[in-house]
Amino acid sequence: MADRASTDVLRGSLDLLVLKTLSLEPMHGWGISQRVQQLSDGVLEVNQGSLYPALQRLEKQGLVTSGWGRTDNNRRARYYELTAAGRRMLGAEVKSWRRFAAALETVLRTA
Amino acid sequence: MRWLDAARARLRLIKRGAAEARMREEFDFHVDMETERRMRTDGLSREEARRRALVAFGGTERYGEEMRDGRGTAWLSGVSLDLRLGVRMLVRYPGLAIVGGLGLAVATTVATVAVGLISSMMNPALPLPGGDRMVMLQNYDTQRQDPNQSTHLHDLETWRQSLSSVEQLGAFRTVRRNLLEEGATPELVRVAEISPSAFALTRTPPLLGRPLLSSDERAEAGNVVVIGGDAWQGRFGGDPGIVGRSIRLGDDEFTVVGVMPPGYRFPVNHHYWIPLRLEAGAYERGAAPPVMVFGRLAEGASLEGARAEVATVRHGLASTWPEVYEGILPQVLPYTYPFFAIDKPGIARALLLGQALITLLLVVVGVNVAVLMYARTTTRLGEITVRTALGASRRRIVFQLFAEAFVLSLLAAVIGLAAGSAALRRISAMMQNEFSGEMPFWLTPGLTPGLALYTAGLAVLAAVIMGAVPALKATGRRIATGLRAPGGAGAGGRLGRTWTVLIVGQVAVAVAVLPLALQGAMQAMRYGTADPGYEADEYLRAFVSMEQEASQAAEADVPASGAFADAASRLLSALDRDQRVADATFAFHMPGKESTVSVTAVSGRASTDSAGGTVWHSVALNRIAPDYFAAFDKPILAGRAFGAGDAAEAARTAIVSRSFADRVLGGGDVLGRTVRLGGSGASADEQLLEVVGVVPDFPTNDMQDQQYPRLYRALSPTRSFNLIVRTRGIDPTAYTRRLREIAAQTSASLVIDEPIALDDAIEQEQGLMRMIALVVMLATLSVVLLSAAGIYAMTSFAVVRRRREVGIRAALGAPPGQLLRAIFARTAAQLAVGVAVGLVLASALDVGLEGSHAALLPLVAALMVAVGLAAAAGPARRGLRIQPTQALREE
Repeated sequence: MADRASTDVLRGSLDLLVLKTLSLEPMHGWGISQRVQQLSDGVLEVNQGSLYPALQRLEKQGLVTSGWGRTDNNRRARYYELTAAGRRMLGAEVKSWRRFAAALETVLRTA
Repeated sequence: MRWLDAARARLRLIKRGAAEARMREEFDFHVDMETERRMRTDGLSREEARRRALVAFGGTERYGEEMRDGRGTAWLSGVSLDLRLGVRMLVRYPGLAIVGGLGLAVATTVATVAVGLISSMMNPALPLPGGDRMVMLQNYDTQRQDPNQSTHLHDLETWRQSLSSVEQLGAFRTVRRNLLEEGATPELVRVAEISPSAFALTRTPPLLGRPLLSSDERAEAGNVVVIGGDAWQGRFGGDPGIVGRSIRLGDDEFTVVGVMPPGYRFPVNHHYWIPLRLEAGAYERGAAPPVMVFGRLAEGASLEGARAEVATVRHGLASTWPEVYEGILPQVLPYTYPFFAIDKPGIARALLLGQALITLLLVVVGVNVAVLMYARTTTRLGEITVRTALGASRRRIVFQLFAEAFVLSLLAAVIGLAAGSAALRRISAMMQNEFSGEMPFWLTPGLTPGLALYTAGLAVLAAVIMGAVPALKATGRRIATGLRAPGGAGAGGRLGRTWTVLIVGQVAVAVAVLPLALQGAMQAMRYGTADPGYEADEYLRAFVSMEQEASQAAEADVPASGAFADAASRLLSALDRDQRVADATFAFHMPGKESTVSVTAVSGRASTDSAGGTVWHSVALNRIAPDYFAAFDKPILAGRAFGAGDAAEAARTAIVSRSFADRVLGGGDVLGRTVRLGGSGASADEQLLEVVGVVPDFPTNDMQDQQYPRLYRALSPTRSFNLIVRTRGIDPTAYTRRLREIAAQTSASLVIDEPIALDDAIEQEQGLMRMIALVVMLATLSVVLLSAAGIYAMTSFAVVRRRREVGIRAALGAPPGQLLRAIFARTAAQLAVGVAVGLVLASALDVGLEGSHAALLPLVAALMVAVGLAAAAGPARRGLRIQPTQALREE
């Protein structure tokens, strides 16, 4: 059940993590998954495949764009990039997440 | 904008394919990168690293599916699932599939054939450059109801001078000429005498040489001919030096000046064109030979504008020549219309109405099948309810039921389209025969993209009626009820009344129409298989006349009798001398094709009825050569055959058939008795004929139920006739060539038209009759099946609804007989009402209700009752088998 809980939490915040990752630089799918794992010290581990439906969703919402590019070792890969809308959304989401986390923290502390 | 939609759909498909490929590539890249990382950091083998990478990814199929959902293409797999389900339902309910499918297939076939024919006839445009602007102008004679005799060269000249809305006016008429060449079989060809403007009008340049020019029209110019590309290839072997070569048509030499491209057959189906050299000045107004006038709507002119202008012109003509233009209505029609007599708005409307009615036939069948489908749908209310509860939208369920119906209707449409296009091919071939080479070149009934689209549309329409409508009804307001009683048993209750009306109506229509249909089919089949009563495979028939030019010289409807009689007599004696000819005779009509007249006996028992009035008999009249009967091996039963004197105009002699002697003259010795021909025109004396001989009845393949009485008068070869040649030791068809040669040697202008072996001619007609019989039988069968299925569904429902009641009554000890009676009572009542209404309808439709038809009525009524009761028996038996405990538990 513990795994399941962490998955659910991640699912809700996956979009946020992707946006955050892409705010640093344009990146391909595998790179995003590596970066998320790296940044979270391996705590947030989900099926890497779930990243792609999330990317598709974000692209449909106009928060990211994508295009074919070349990796360092000259392989064709699809790179994702944050749009202006995506950057605004990230800002809003981060704020909202902080408020939520702070509220939760307050509750936990008093309880 | 159909192409636009198609392009869009294709684009979507391409896009979908591209999205799929992009996704695959991205996934592959990801797994490859992960594999390499694990090999690098964990020191794993490639296989193991790849396995773990795939596990970490979590299944490419799963996320692929999720992304497809995200793209909105998931419905596609839903559709294919629905269609697969539809196929499964067909297999699970074979009865419904067969009955409904057959009914739909028959209706689709009929609709495809009818719409195919009508639309190819109604297509107003010629397949030529600017063909949609080509028109025909004609004078419709409102008194004679005839457009063919009242358009003359004078009118062409007037129209040329005064119309601004129609250009490139020209005229044509068809003449038949013998194409004669040394060393080649003489060939009868249809030559268009045509205004040279036709070539400019059709905007088709010649392949070789030049077209006809207006200078060719002058009488002093030499004889010139333009030939078609098909004739050039077929008849002249594609001779590159054809231009300048001389060919012989009848008695005249013509110089070939041009060759048109293959396929060019303007104005109707012509391969030879010569200038129209009629001098309007040589005739009185309204007395010149009739022609057909064509032209093209001027730039910016409309059909309505041209009509108004022509009407104004007519007004002026009528004031100058009131007697010529009395009752004449000038018409401007799309080029193709006059050839099918679509010369009144009413006819076009009637054809369109016919098209609509035939489409309606499918709707009727569709509604019938829909009733059956509805029954099935309501039995599945439980399933639908559960699906709804699980979150399926109404749209989703309706679409599923639509898809199920669509599978059935699509199957029927494919069958109908295949059968329909086969029938159209057959009809097209028969029309070729019927028009004998004069079938308009633009008329090609057959499978066209438009027709396929129409049939596909029918399939969708049928599926909407059969699937979507019942589904909407079933999912409408009963879902809640269904949830309370998921067995579906409570659902059928309210269909009762509509359904009863449908069943009663169906039985009534079947009872009313079946006897007619059966009788028609039986008659067609009888005629389609009847033996003519003589050795038809030994005879060759041809229509003999003179080239039209010769007849025009005489300025009369009949050919110049002297020249024709002379040529015809020489032809007959030349045939008699031929070793391969057993008999050569002639008659005005072919046996079995006689015209009917009414006659009465002047002296004898049968001349008056009990009230003293004259009794007229309908009989078949033919005019024949003296050796006609001998040529068909028919003996003279009494009296004598015709002699040379009987053919004289003054001779008033007749030979009658056996049935004529019995039925018209009352039997006994009829020689010397007198009959009077009905009709007006002749003086009283000319209508009286003396019977000089009696012959057996023949042919025996009459369309009528009984043998037509026949009356024969003598004919001398002074006018065109049917030549009948009985061959000896040679196939009649193979003799055609020899016949043409002999005729050409006799006279260059003797025309041998439409030669055909008699058994082929009979087979053509009988084949058509058998086809009609088959179609009627199939349609009848589908009506009976649909009715039976409707009654079956209805009864089955009644029993399902009364399960509990029947079960309890059985538990209380009710005897099976009583229960059966209860079950059958409703069905029997419906059948009785249906049959009664049907009988009333039948007697309203058929005024006389005579003979075998009347005998068929009770038979058909009994058949419908039997079918209905048999259909009710199955569900009734199932009803009896209900266990009382089971019935009670269902509460």
